[in-house]
Amino acid sequence: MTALDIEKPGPAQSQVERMSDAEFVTPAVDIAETAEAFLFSFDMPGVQSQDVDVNIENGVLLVEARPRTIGQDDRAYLLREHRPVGYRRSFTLNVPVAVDAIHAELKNGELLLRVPKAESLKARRIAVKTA
Amino acid sequence: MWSLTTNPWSPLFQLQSDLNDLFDRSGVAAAPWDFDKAGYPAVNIWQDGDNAYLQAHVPGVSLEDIEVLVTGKQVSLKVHRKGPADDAATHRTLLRQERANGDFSRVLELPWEIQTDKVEASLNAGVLTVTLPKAETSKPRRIKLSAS
Repeated sequence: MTALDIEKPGPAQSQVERMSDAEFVTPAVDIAETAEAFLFSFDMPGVQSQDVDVNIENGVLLVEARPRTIGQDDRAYLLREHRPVGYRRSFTLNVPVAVDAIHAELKNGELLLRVPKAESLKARRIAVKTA
Repeated sequence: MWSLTTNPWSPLFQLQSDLNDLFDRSGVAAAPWDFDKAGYPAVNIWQDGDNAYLQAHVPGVSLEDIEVLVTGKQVSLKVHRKGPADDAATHRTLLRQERANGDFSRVLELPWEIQTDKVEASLNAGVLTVTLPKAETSKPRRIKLSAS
């Protein structure tokens, strides 16, 4: 695991942190690598596509989601194991990636992120079907 | 020797109580007021006058892999989550795996009977919502007072 350096969650990241009016937690993630790309799968239940922000800057990939439900918590609970929170997590990428070709998709409460490696960028441009 | 203060059955009651504790600790049929015994999938249950609402976080699980069973006061959830091994054909190397996969089940008990034929469930963005109506006999009923 040399290509990807996952930022170690510090005390502020590993626990629920309070940022402005919203609360964020670190979502669980699976990361896989293929010949062409890195594939991230985040657990983000309750998140809609308009809530998600994926940014890459100076080799740091930042994923953030702010569901509309944040703060809705005035119910008569009998059992309460999850809270309405946002998700935030960042990764340092130690290999050049094709920033323009990053693909993000939400499916069944999972955020699926495809980050193509830069080396394969040209080859992919030939094969790409999107306009 | 018989005594007024000793119940001859107390060893049996003790055994029953110990067994109940054992089941409680395993997370099966956890009492709804046990807030700190969280299981997977994480579940919230709240209620209003007519219904209880159960909301479970099941990211990455598709509709056909969820089973909801309702009997009496109990709701049972069964979830199968596919893992990375399920798509081995894609030639991927797993660098990191933080999410569990496989079969998960939970049994949750409400403080009242459920009207089982009116239960509704839906799945949206990895959140399973089940509406559990109270049985008519469990609803509060206003009693008319009559002057004698």
